[in-house]
Amino acid sequence: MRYLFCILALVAGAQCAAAQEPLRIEITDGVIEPMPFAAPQFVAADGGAQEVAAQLTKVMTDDLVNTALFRLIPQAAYIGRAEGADATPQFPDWRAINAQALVTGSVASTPDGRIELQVRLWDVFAGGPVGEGLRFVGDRQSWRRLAHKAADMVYSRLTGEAGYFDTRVVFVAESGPKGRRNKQLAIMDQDGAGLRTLTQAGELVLAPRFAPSSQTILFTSYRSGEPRVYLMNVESGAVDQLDRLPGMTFAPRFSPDGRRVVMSLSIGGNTDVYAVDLGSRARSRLTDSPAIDTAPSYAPDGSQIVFESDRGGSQQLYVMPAGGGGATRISFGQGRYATPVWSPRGDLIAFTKMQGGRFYIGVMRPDGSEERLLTASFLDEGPTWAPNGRVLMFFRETGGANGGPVLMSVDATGRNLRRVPITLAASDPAWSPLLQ
Amino acid sequence: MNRSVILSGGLHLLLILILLFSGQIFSSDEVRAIQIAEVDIITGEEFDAAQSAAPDAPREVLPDLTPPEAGGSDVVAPDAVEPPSAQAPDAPEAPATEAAETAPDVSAVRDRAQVTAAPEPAQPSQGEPEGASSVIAPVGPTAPETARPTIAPSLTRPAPPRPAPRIADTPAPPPPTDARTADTATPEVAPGETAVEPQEEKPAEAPPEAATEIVPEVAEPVTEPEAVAPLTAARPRGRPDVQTAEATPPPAAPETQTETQTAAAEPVRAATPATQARPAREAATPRPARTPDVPVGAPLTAREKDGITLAVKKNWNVGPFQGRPDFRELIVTVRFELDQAGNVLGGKVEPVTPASPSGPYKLAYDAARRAVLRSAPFRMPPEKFGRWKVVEITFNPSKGIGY
Repeated sequence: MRYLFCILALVAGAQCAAAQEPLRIEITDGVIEPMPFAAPQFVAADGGAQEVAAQLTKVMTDDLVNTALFRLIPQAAYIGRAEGADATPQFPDWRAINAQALVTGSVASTPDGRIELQVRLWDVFAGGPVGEGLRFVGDRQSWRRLAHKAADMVYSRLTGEAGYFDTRVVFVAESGPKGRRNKQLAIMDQDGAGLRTLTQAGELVLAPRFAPSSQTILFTSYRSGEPRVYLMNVESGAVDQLDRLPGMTFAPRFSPDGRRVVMSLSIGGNTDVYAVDLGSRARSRLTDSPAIDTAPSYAPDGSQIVFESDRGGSQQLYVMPAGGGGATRISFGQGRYATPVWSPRGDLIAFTKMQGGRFYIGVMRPDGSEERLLTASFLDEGPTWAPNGRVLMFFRETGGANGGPVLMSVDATGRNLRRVPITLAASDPAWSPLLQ
Repeated sequence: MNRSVILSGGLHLLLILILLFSGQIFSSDEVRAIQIAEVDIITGEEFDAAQSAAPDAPREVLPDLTPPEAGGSDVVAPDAVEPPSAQAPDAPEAPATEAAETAPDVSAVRDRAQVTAAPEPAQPSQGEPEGASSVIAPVGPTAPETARPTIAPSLTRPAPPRPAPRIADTPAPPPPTDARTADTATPEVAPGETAVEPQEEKPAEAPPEAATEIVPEVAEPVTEPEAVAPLTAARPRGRPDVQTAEATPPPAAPETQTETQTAAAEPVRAATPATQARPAREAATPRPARTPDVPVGAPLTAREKDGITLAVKKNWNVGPFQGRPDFRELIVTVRFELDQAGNVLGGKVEPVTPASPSGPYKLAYDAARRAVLRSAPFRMPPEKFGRWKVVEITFNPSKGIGY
């Protein structure tokens, strides 16, 4: 009898424990789909801001939608009323249309003729704001930058990564027949807007590269008859030749701190990697081999340089200390590897791969592991990283007599391959850092 | 000598005479014994037939008596049932009664047994199996003695009642003509007459009598229904409280109305002080029951757990932060409480690990919270509410989606 009582007590205790113990579940698989968000048109505080309010809203939402990480719910589906950045929205109205995030804002004209944009991001399911609201003020002519900055705010708060919308891309604009292309330096916003050329027609230019923290670019030009590296201030248009060394210099890149430039110097048929101090213009030789060593790119911390070399018999990627010295081969796959670019985040190296008559854009870890090919085509080449290290831009050229290069972008995960919406033929893109 | 010879002769003669006239020597008994011997006249075929038929008859009948209901031959059954009730003394009680209700095959078997084993079928001798054994007795040891006592009592019972025929012998009476009159008589009936007749029938109905007693009792709960309604929910948990069901008088008989009204009024009065401060609208809305005695039930099956897992993983969107280099390290655990309808109580999804997520973990937590809230309500077995009342989910991207 006593044992029976104990057993019953244990069973009752187990039942009570089961009632209080939470049901524990582990989920390891999710989905990857655009997050639905709503962005009612920004409220115009005055008549002068009415038109720009709609444009700001559209540019901001286009930025977000083009990432393929977000999906804009059409305005026609909105139940909630458009309100300013300071008004707390009626969240049930937005939950009803399955909006997970909500962006509200208001636009006003300042007394000095500029535009003021106030934006706030809301978590619809949490029923509260995501961070503080932001206020941007800018010239009426640069209203697009206001929209890009608002999009950067939303992007960074929803992804945890820095935005890349308020950036520019410098590239080589091409025109004319395929055999006699006319190449000019051009610059545009990352979304293709605000395109303008930087150099005159008839000058052969190659491989522009942005400085890491200023609006200065490096590029290679044949204006002196042979390839030379030049510096250009994008705002003023001033051009300065980097060095006056004998031989050909090409494939330049800035160091992460912007104080040095690493590039290739070809003397007597031998190409090696050199570093040039921008202050003293002093150079230092980083590689010393009879092979072709070129296309150097600094690691974001400036401690290492990745470059391509055929010292092993085929075109492969190598990593060496920033001061030169022993290089380590990191690419061991089939085919040839070229144009390595170290990610701003430091976690990946993008490259161009040639194998079996096709070109690929791929990424690998700095030690050469986890190689992944993101694109493939007749000719994909010249990757460049967005400043957040999440997106790559490159150029793709189609075959045939009428083929021409176009700019493409792709997510580092390999998703969201899309063409940059410009009508010009373009190659050699270089992404700028975030504008100040 | 002569005298002795004469005397001896006389005595012998007397003895002879006595013997002749007394019948001692040539009595009629010897003749009767010869008559008894006629029993031996039974032939071997008859003996074999009697030996084989008598014990087999009940054996064949017994297993076949199981069908409970009569078939289409029930009409014939009475003729077949009566003879076995009188003759087949070996049938047990229950099978015999069933046999009377069963198919004609059984009766046919009984008929064969009757012919072979019962030469004198007329008398239903009760308790006397010897009537049958007297014939079978010469068979001697071949007839199983033990079978007789078991079979014999069945025959002592009266025959089972005849099953009622399915089809009535007489046709059913035609339906009352009252049902058909409405279609034909309408044009001929005067409106004045029809108006009078229903008025005369109304007083015969019961409701008007009860109405005078109920009216005051119904009126009381109707005046204050909303403040009272929640406490009438000593009902099963999870069912929304419907106030109108108690406030409106049901259109039932007056006696039952009075019972329901008084039953509803008592808990109302008792609970009124506790619920006076509660807004009427809040009280009217269905709320989850928070009673400590939640049903626990059996442990959840894997399939029942999948009810939550599949729903949440479908809404766990890792796309926005999937490109981060530390994506696989962003493991978060959240905890939430459900009501019996599967809704997240208060919409609260609390972080467990890390307790205060920040930076990229805040993003992972936000995605987890959205996944839970978008998945609700969860469809879970209510009888196991105690098993899934509180849920802890760990979102672990390290094992799933990556680049």
